[in-house]
Amino acid sequence: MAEPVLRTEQLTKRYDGLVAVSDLEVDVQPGEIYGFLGPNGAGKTTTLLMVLGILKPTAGRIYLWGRPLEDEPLAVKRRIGVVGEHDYIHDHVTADEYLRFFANLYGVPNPAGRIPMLLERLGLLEFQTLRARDFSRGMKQKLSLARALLHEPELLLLDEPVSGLDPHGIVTVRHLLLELNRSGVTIFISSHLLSEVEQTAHRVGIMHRGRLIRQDTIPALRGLLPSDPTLDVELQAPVPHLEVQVLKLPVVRQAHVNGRRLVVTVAAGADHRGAISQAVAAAGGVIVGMQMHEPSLEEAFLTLTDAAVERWVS
Amino acid sequence: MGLVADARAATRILAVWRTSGRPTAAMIRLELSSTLTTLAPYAVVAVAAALAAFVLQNDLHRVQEDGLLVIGDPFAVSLYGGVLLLSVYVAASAAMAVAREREHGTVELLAYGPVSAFSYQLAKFTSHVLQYAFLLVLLLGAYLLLAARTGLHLRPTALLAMALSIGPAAAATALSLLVAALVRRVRPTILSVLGLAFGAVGLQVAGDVLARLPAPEFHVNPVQVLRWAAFTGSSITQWLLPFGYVDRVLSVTLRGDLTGAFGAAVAACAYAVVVLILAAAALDRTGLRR
Repeated sequence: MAEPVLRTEQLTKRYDGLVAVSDLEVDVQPGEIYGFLGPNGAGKTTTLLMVLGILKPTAGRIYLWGRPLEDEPLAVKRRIGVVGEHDYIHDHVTADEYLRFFANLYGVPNPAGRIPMLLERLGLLEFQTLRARDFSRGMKQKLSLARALLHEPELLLLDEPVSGLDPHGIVTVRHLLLELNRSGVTIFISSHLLSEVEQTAHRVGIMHRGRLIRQDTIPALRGLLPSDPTLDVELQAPVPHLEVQVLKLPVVRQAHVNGRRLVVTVAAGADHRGAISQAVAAAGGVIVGMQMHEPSLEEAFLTLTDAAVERWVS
Repeated sequence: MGLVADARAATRILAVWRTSGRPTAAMIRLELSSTLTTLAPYAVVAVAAALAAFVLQNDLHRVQEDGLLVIGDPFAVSLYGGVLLLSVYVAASAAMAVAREREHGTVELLAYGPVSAFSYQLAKFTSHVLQYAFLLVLLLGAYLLLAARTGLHLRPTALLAMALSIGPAAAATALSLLVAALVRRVRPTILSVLGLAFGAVGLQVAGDVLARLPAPEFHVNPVQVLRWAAFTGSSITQWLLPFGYVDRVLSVTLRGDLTGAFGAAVAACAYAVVVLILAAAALDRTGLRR
């Protein structure tokens, strides 16, 4: 297995008796998108700030590309792009001036070509001479992302990267992240938006009250759920005793008919839509629509965090 | 072997430049362009030039009235006032820049990248010392105009005193950066820097005034006690605070004691270096987060 891009070893941060992060052991593999999930106050931002050397850990160590962070923090940070919790953009600077300053700071070759290219990719090119005070929150967020990408980082650390973006902006950023990842950039996304992480991340770590309660792939996390997928079937007309027919199938756990609507809970692990269609047809029904609902990461997250809370309470 | 060692040294220098030098240079450029495009520094130079014009006009008026005025250097008082004003302005400006950026969160944004607490403080320090040098050139231009207009001579020692005042101004800037790192918030930082500056100058002026007062012949003499207290306080602040170095450099230079002048300037520079290191350590310790 390759050396993790980012690895933490019993990372702990305490503030005056309050444990913000406790014995955190995270590893982010090269070329993956890692979703760092958790509710507000779970310790995600504290972890990111420790990884960036802005907060000093109370205990534990951080390794970037296999080397302790404290060895060469500045050299390492040149390889990282960051979108933080806040945008911190001075109101009087234009997008172009802002990016030009950071291009100088990182020593970006050919900023005159790189800056317009990034602004165009994020839909900000026409606003490059606009002052930041006239930017919306979403535009500032995109500008922060452009800043993080200026020096072509190998690792992107993103704290709530789509917060404040409109649906179009969310799709733009999602596509950009996936494209960057395909080109080899490792991405670490800290978020409380489970749906967003679900669509991009390969692996997910779930934080709760400063602890990493689970670190796994999304299908594996879904597999932890006790609930099976449900099929929502819309019929052309009501069919008498349909649920009795459907319940005869061994894969069906539950069936419920409400007028022209049939809701069936089936066993997880395979696609049973064909079998359900055949059973409905055999009972004389005509299907006009069918939707499968799988347990979301959100449900997995809630199940896991609730279980963790129960464990600690007991 | 020599070639390999040279190449290694060059690579190391290049690496240091990439990791620390380039970001510092970028921050210096930004700071200079943002401070020198505002009105405040030019207003301070204008006030210093107006003060000099007032003092010189007053001197000329006394010459006209009394027919004779014996004065060592006609620009001495103006120079004290001007240099002190510029030093305090630059120190307060540096402190405000750090405190404001910390309060706003910009320092944290810089720390996402290749910027350490030291390179940040070094950039603030260098840009403000350069700003001081630039404003000094403007003030010199104003003095030359006044010299030409009044016919009073601007002596070479005054020019040297101006040049050497960069050392004390650097010391004042370093101290203000230390205050900003320790205090964090904008308003208390500015009040602390101004309090230190005017406190030190006020103590010195009080000492001078008390020294000229006739001491009444009581058994326990209150003027003597106050004089002693002011002298002690002033002696301490003369070395602990950079504004004492301004006085030392100027008075020694204007007296024509060049060795003493360079010595005082070097002492001020050494003070600046030590305090700058402390300021960086303080910023690192108190944290870059707002």
